[in-house]
Amino acid sequence: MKLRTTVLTALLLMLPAIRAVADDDPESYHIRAITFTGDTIEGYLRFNLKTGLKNMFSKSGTIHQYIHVADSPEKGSESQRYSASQVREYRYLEPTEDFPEGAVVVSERINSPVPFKPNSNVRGFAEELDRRDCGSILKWNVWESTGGRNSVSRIVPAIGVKFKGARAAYGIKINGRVSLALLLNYLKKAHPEFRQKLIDYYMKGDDAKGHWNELKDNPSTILLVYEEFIKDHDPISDPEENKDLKELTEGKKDKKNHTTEEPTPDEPAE
Amino acid sequence: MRYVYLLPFPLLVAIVTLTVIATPFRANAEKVLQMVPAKVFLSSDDTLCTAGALHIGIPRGDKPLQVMEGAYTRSQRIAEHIDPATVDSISLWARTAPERKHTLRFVNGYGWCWQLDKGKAITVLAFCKKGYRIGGNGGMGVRDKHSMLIMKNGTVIAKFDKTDKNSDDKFRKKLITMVADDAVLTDMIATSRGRRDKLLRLLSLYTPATCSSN
Repeated sequence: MKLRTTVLTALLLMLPAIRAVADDDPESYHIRAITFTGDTIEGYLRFNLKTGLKNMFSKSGTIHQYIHVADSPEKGSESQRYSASQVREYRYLEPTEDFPEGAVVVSERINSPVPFKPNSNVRGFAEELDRRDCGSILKWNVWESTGGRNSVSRIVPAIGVKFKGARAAYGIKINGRVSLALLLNYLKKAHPEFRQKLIDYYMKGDDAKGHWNELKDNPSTILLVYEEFIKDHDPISDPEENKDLKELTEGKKDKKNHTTEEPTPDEPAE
Repeated sequence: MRYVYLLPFPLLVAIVTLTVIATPFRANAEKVLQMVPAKVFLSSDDTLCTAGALHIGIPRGDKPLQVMEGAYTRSQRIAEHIDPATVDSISLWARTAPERKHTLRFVNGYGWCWQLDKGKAITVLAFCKKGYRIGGNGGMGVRDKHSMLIMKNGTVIAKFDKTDKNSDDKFRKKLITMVADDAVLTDMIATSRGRRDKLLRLLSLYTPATCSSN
């Protein structure tokens, strides 16, 4: 049963890549990636078993940390694996009605809470649903358990918000249900004033329920609340936000990934 | 004197009865999909513009259009139902992206359709019975499986399902028969490869022979 679950999970996690490969239109997975060092990589996302397994057995089994990019859509063309520590973002070149400029997937620190560590986060790829000056709305996958005696775990979509200046992206809507618990917990120390503003807007007051429903329909409205807030207050400024960015922008070699022509990780940052 | 209860637990029965009786008088429980600001163009050339807290519930299927008052506030309610037959089109957008607008039209025999492209003679629409949604970035999508409709001169001439499949020669020939008098477009369709929905949207470029000669 456990083996079956593991195999099914591996297949599920590879699903976006499988869909890209099964789609006969190669332009649907033609991407342009920008690395943290400023380089541009253009290619085609490709399904790769090893990359899929690395994603599954990485720090967070649901948050993708690796992509596999090929030079051309033909079989046998050169391909390379990139990690979220190397690629800042990649954009699909084919426009859609949902994303007229092409869907964007960004590398971001994403809150991945574990018991006794609610602020634990991991760097991975998340689909960017909306981007504004003050932050962005991201989408990734998480495990959800049904609970009870015969608990069943399944992968569900999570939508979160990454405020500019915040340490990581925090989930606000998991499997269609809105919950600000993780975000409010982080803001307790990061920005108590904004935390109180969110509590007053979404939990107290006559229109709180309406605002909550609006957040469920359109998560980007929380960015409007933040934009209004920072007009008269200081924005979130977490010193942890760029903790690993220095090493990434200098192109330090990630021990676990394949890179070429980059300095070793033992060299001190300049 | 012995009291004989006619019903067990009379207080509980009274509460349940009152709740059942009061049910029809509860606040309107009609389902409302996502509420968005919109401009409604009526067939009578009138325009119903929603501004401020006046929104519409994104229509679905063949249901009447819901005009909301006090959307996402405590005083939210359905202010009005508009008959789809009286609506020419609706222009709607997300509150967080007002620059990105989308158009819905009511097509007889189908319901509320999303207008993808409108050309001189051909309009390409998407129809999803379960409705549509607008994202925070202003992008629009369907909630379930959808079909694509080709409308020529106000009449639906073709309907296509499974439009995410790749096109084949048979499909391309069918499209060419619809725009046979436009040589440029027929060549473009004949040499195009890719998904069906992309080819269908090319049909909006159709220019009838009578127009091109003028």
